[in-house]
Order: sequence, then C-alpha cells, then structure tokens
Amino acid sequence: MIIDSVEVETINSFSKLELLKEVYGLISILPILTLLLGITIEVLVIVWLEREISASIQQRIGPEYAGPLGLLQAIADGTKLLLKEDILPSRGDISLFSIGPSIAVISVLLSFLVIPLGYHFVLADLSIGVFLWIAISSIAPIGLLMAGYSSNNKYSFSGGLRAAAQSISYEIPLTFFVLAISLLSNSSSTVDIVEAQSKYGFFGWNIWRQPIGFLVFLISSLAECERLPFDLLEAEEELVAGYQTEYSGIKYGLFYLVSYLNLLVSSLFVTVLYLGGWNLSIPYISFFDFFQMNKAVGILEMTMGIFITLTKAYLFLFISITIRWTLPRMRMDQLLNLGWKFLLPISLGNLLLTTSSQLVSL
Amino acid sequence: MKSFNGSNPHLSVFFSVCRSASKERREESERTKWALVMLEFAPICIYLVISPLVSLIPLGVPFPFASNSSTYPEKLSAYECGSDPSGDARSRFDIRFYPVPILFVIPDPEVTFSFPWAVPPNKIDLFGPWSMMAFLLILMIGSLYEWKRGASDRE
Repeated sequence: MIIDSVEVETINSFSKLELLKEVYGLISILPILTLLLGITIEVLVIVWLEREISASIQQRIGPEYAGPLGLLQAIADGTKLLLKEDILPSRGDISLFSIGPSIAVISVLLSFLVIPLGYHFVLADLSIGVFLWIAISSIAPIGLLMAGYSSNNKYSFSGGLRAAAQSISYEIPLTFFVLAISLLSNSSSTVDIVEAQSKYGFFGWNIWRQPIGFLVFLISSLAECERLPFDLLEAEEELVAGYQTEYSGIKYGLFYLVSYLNLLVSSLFVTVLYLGGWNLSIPYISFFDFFQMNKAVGILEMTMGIFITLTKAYLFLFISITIRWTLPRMRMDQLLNLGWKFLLPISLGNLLLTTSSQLVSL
Repeated sequence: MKSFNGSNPHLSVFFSVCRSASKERREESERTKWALVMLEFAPICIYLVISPLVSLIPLGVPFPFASNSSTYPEKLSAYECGSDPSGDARSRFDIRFYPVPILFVIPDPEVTFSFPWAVPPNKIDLFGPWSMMAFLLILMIGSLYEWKRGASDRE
C-alpha cells in the first residue's frame, strides 16, 4: 500500500497532538481525588455502622453524642488520634516503625483502582484487574511484619509473625477461587467478569455457578482482613495488642483504617465476583425499557450502577460485622489448619470441577 | 482496547496507518503498543504517587500538638504489662513460623502461572487444560508429601 509520505506526516503530527491531549486528560488527578473522598466517606460510614450493629447485637445503645445519631463518631475518633503524641520505642527501628503502617495502607488503597462501579466507571480498566488485587494484597503482610519487628517487643514480634502467617495462608485459597471465576468469565478484567454475569439477571450471578467458591471466598477474605473469627492478632495476648502494641496516635489510626478499608475492598470484590456487580439483575427485564429519555440515561445509569454495587457490598459488610460480634475466636493452629488442610484441597477440587465443566462445553 | 472506548477517529486512523508496510512503521507500532500499555497503567502510577502522600502526610500532623516524651522515659520502653521488659525482643522466635512462608512460596507462583492459562476461551483446545492439569498434579504430589510429613502440623 503506497501512502504519500507528506500525508502520513501530517496525519502523524495531528494525531500526536490528539494523543497528547488524551493522555493529559486521562492522567488528570480528579478521578483519583474523587475516589479518595469516596473512600473516606465510606470508612466513616462503616465505622459508624459497626458500632451501631455491635450495639444492637449486644442490646445497648451505640454512639449518640458525636453529631446526630452518632454519625460523626469516626471523625471524632480520627481527630483525637491525629492530635495524640507519636511515641517511638526507644530501641526500636524508627524508619521501619514509621513505614510499616504506610505500606499496609498503600497496598489496600491501590486495590480500589480496579473495582468497577459501572461500565465505564472504573479508574483503571486493566485486562488483569483481579490479579492486580491479589498481587497487591500480598504486600500488606510485609507492612505487618515490619511493624512487629521494629517495635522491639516480644509480643509485637510474635504477633507480627502470626499476622503474616495468617495472611499468606489464606491468600492461596482466595487466589484459586478467583482463578475459577476467571475461568468461568474467560477474563481477568473486573469489568468483563461483571459483564459475564449480566445475561440472565438474577440467575446469571456467579454465586450459583460457584457456590462453594462464594462461601470459601467469604471465609478467606475475613481471614485476610484479620477480623473475627480470625481475630487472634488483635486480641490474643489479650491485653497486649499484637503487632499494634507500641503504636499510638495516627499510626494506630492507620492500622485501624487498614482494617476497615480491607473489609470494604473484600465486600466490593465479593459483589463484583459473585453477585453481579452493577447489574440490576431482574431477569429478562432491561432496565432501560422503563425510561424513554436518551440524554439523561447516561447519568442515571451511572447513579444506579453505583447505588446497586454499594447496596450489595453493604449487605456483605453487614454479614461480616454480624459474624464478628457473634462468633468466638479461633486458635492459631486451628486457623492455619483450616487454611492449609481444608481450604486448599477444596480450592484445587473446585478448580478441577470448573475446568471439566468448561471442557465439556467446548 | 477498553481504554479507547468512545475515543478518537484520528487515533484509529493513526493506528491503521501504522499497521502497513515498512520497518519504521513497525517500530512505530511497537512504540504505540508501549503507549497503549502505559495508558492502561497510567492511573496506577499516579495513584502510587498519591497514596504514599495520603498515608505519610498524617504522620507529620501531630508534631505541633503533641507533648514531649523526654520527660517520661518509661513511655518509650517496651510494653510488658507494667513490669520492666525482660531480655531482648529479637533473640528467638518459634521455629514453627518458619516453614509457613516457605510452603507459601510454591503455591503462590503455581497460581500465578495458572492465571494466563485461565483466560483464553477456545484457543488452547484440549491440549491446554490437560497440560495445566499435569502441572497442577506435579505440585499436588509435592503438597501431599508435605502434608504427610507434617510440615504444616501443630501450628
């Protein structure tokens, strides 16, 4: 194909300008700041929700003084922690001590990039979306180990080791089940996984195709977040708070934040992977037959997508919080046995079943 | 090509021009593939800069408000339920924590290598799943051996 070189040069230069404008538009910081604001508000809501639900379960009244209905309780806690003194242990490793919680926070914050709240409403539509989450969530145990080691406290060190052992033990069943979902959806991109669940409404959700996967994912993600019944690290040496012992002020606040952010990410991923994400899921009724307007459909669709995703995620938050306040704690050896000897063979068996069902349909 | 949804007709012309003939054009298509990958991962790079700022800036906030701990040196010593800390914290730890990460090292790349296998729908026909099954079988034999020998026992 012979192309006039002058023509090609002009096309090249023109489209390079366009490319630059697109790149500049794509890397604008505004979506990321919006995400951070959204995350902050959600953490405040989750903290308040946890205290209200735990109060109801224990038949008492939750927070009621900080703002109407106690809604500003989390802001009050955060401000208090922000103004407290930052105690550095005298013979501990100061740089590791300071960086430990930051690494945990960064790894959890990065996971929010690939969560889709709508079809075009995801910050980074990678073709390896869920795998990015799995990989980044493996970085958090490093922060916990750093925190435990640098505190120069026997109990902190032991707690940090247990935290790392627990986190990595439950990563493998988690990853195998995410792999099974990838097999079913033929893609590792979160947007594709949600799209693959949109065909048959309520019955197209992955929870019906992978029921064991759903249960085990729930268990593994609770273990990853270090919440009860896998709570051993925070309350084990009961007065001494594990790897968080020597922390005070905002660094302790960062660990607190990591716990709730991790819970939120896990709930959102349960929604995306098993419950059909932003789809309305009433079978065989297209959402847009209700609305005839064409111009406002885009914004309406986006709002409905966000609303539906958050509703499903908050269902799981409710379940997680209720589990925390009803079930007793597991011992460390029971915990590791559950991860290695029960969940790992189940995950391999599930992978085998899924592969054979895909082979049969080939 | 999700990142180019609703995008530029000029860009698609640019790319279709790139796919034709000569060697400079092939180098340019390499560069555009690089540009595509960079565009896909650009939000992550920005976010990697912003999130350390978000987590490290609050660490500096207490400085104007907090009190000085040099007046009470006991504040800085290790916490052992009120008594003086006995011995160094880093002398020993339980050996049973040592095999857990080592046993993690094998299944972690196993599952990482399974991800590229899980994705393509029909392109690996029948040979693909069976070769992956062979890989998983070999690693499963190793896991069975480790279970029987009790490497993950008692903790």
